[in-house]
Amino acid sequence: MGWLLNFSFATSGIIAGGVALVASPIIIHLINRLRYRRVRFAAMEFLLESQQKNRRRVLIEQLLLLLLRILIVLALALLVARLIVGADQLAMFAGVKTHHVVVLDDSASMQDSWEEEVDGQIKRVNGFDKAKSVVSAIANEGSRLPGSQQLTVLLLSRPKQPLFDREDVNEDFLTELKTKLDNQQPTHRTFALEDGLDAARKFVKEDETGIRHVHVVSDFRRGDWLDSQAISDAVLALDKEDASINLVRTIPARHENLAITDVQGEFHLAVAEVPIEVTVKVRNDGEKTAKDVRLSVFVDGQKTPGSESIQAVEPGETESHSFYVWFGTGGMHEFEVRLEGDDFTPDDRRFVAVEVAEKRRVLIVDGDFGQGREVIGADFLKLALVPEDTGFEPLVQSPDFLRKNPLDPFTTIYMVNVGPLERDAVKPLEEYVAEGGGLVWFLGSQLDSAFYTDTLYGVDQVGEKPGLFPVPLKPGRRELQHLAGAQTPPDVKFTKHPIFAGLFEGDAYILAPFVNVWEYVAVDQSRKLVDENGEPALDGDGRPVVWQKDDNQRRDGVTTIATLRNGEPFAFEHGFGEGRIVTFLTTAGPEWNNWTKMPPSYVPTIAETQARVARTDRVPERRLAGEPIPFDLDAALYETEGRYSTPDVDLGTQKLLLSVEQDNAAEGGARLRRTFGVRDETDLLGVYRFTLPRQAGTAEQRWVAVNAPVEEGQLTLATDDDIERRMGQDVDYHLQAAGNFGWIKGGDEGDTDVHRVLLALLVVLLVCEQLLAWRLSFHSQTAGATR
Amino acid sequence: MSDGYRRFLRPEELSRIGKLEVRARHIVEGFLSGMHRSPYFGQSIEFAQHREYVPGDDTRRIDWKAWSKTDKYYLKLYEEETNLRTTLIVDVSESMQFGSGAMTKYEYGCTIAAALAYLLLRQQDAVSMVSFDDAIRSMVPARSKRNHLHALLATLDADAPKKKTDLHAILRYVAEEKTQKGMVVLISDLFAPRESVFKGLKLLRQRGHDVLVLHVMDDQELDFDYSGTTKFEGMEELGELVCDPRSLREGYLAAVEKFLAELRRFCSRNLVDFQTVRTSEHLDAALRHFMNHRIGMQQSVRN
Repeated sequence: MGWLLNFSFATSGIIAGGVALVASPIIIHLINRLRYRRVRFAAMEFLLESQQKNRRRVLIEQLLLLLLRILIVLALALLVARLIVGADQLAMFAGVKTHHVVVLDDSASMQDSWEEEVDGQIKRVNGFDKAKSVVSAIANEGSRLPGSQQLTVLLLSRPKQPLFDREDVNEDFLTELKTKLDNQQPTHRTFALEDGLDAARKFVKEDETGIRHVHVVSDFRRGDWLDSQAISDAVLALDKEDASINLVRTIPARHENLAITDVQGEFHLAVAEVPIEVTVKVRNDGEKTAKDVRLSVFVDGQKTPGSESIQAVEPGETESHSFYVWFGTGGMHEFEVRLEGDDFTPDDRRFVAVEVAEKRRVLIVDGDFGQGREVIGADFLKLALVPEDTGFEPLVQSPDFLRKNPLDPFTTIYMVNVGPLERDAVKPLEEYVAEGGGLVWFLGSQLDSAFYTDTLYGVDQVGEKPGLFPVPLKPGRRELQHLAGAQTPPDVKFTKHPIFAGLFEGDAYILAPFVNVWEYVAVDQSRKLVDENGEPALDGDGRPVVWQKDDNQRRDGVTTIATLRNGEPFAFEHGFGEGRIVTFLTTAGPEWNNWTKMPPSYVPTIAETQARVARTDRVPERRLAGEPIPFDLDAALYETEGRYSTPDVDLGTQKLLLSVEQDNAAEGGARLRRTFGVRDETDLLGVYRFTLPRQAGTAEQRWVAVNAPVEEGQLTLATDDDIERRMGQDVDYHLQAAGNFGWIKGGDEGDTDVHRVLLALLVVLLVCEQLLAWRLSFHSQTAGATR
Repeated sequence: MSDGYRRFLRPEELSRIGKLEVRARHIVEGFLSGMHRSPYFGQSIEFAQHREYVPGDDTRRIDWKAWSKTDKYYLKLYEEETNLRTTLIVDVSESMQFGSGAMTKYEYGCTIAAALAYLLLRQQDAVSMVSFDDAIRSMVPARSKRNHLHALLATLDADAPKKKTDLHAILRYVAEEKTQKGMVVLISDLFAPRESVFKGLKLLRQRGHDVLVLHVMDDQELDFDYSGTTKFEGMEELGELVCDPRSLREGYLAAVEKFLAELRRFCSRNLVDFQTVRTSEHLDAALRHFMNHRIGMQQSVRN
């Protein structure tokens, strides 16, 4: 019965008059009692007898008749005033000038589809189809009142470029609307609803006359509504403009969904004909356990034989599945993992553009190379990097190589037993790592602790990050005392860092106990640091701040990944620019340890180190749908016209024109710039292929994989309570259930049920009134019978 | 009987004729002119029919003319001459002043009385007239002369009518006054205490009078088709009532029907001829009823 308390009127002005009219039967009755005609009558005896007998009945009948007439007037007043029962009923089309601003959600989640009966046939429909139906229904209803209704349609993908801008709704407009709506498809992107609301507010603000309705037609996902203060603010701002806010759901219920949330692998190490491991993460956004989840793998659009499968994915959980994939040839390749048998498709496909090298070059700089000495460390590293055909091509060189040759072609540089370097060798090395190159340090007899500390580490200031070397070193090397006995702890304590993954089986420490270290270089833990003013840094107790062994206290971005039995740090990892550096405070060869004699431990560690530090800046980009792809090229190296192709193969190859811009920041060089995708060109999922011709006559291939944002796959709908919490108590809004179009037909057919009931009630009342009045009145037939 | 003449007997038409005497003549002449010749009607000694002679019949009544033509004996039968004494008792009380149509009940009643008187005098029957309200207002003794009509009609004056009280007393007076048996025609709405009415009529029957009651009722009294809020002011001091007449109609009609049923039942038991006459009906209705009654009387006499 709550609905009785929850009603309003389309024409509330009329209802006041209607209520006043309710009194009219009473007034007429009273007037009739006062105004009567006089009749001198002879047969009073019978009249008085009748009156005596029927006094009570007459009174009841008269009251009943009066009540019926009051109810008739009341029902008429309610009908004329167009009673609207329920908060979800809106008088949208009241015949006065009305501006409808529709914010149409065309985000990827609107592709959520389900089967329903349409015109007697089971068809698959999606949320966006339903949203278009809502817009059409609004326009259709508006066209019945030509001249008074205006429609603005905003897409969330382009809120500032309305699909329709204050169009008068009439028959001609309906045709145009249908054509344009038919061409609209949901995007693969995610959008902020508040942007649409803000844009709608602008239109509402510009049109201050008449009634203004803002219809937000969306699927209302829970994720969008839970934590978005911005939506609350936008709604509040809209409410202040005195526009009615109408939230229209298009999706009736949450549907099951599986999503590929990530595809990771050693794509940066991809070499022709060498398998790489790929890990796919599949999330279950549904409510039921997904069993036997099938994954198909495509390379360059061709399905690879067989299929991968995950046994089960529990609701809300993410399962990882790893498998190997290999590419037959070098060059650019398109890699795709596809989830089979899921209804919500945008997150079922994940693309990766892969640049497959014929060989991955690795530079090993050994201080002993070219000195007439045996290059032990480099040889062991070569063996560890290429135990079989791993696709790596190691090159052993002396430190001078760094000064004279470009380092870009190398995936990783190993520095083995290197002494002091020239400044012009350090600088290219720093640039190489800063741009994304990988660097691994091994020490040895040629170590110059002062150079390493002052030049390569080079940090004195508290909180500053180190240079190419992670720690300050003490001069000379230290011996680790050998302990005999079965119960002695291992010399090296490895952490569960990815580099050492091969040393563990689960949590068990299987291979590390067999690694012995005899000599190492100790970290200078007494090195005093200075503050930002160059003064010796002091702690709270006034003592000088020194290098701290604890990573959490030091906070310089260096992670200790292994320590020695005596507690001295042994191995580190730290970042430098875009690149990554791993440091071992021992030799790469067997001079100071027996590690190289433990191939099951050494080889996997070197392989994992290689995978971890190898440069990733050359890996083709991955972007989200709709994200623009910027180009900023050196005009001296590239041509102004490139070519590109999109995942839509029908479009073929098209020209990519780059504009020449003078770059004031760069020294004298002109730049070729272009931002691709500002007009939604990157909405399609797949790999976009750009060919950028160089002045030298070669061409650079730049492939970009575009995928749908994973959050769009979280299809849980916001409940009415979620929305109410977000909207707040002060905002007046209406929330329409999916599939309910009754609110649109607010004029004649809207509130249909209520009006039909009222109409039926009125008919019943009129019939009753007539029957009662007939019963109480004179009829000639009866009179004739008396004659 | 052709109905053409009846258009002259409509109350609407007759009400235009001011003088009662002329009105009565108009009705009766109109009524008679519309009738075919009737074997039961005419002058006092009139041939009725032939009957074959059977031994024992008075030979003086054999029609010799018929014998000469048919060679059979036929007796000539004649209507028996009767000198009927009729007393017309006319109610001129206040309630009779009610009328919703062209005529009030009083006017209608007087018209009937006048017409009957004219008809009877024309047949040379003796007619006396009594008018009454709360008591006998005037009374004219029985005469059969034609010029007696004027005297009869003079009694029907209804100046300052009063309420009926004791109809029994009035009828008893008439009964005692009319020692010779005859016919008594009571023209009234009978809005009086029922017992009183019944007692009076019974007394007349006990005295051997042939009683005919012409119960004059207005259309509205029978149909009660008033509508709208109405204040009914009772005649004959019966109070007043403001009401919606439609709501009381059913009960009213039931009460009227009960009243009429009581009257009919009483009259039927006591061999009183009773006829309710609407003031909207043609005036000959009452005359026809009277004639039928009279013929019934003659037949009973003849048989």
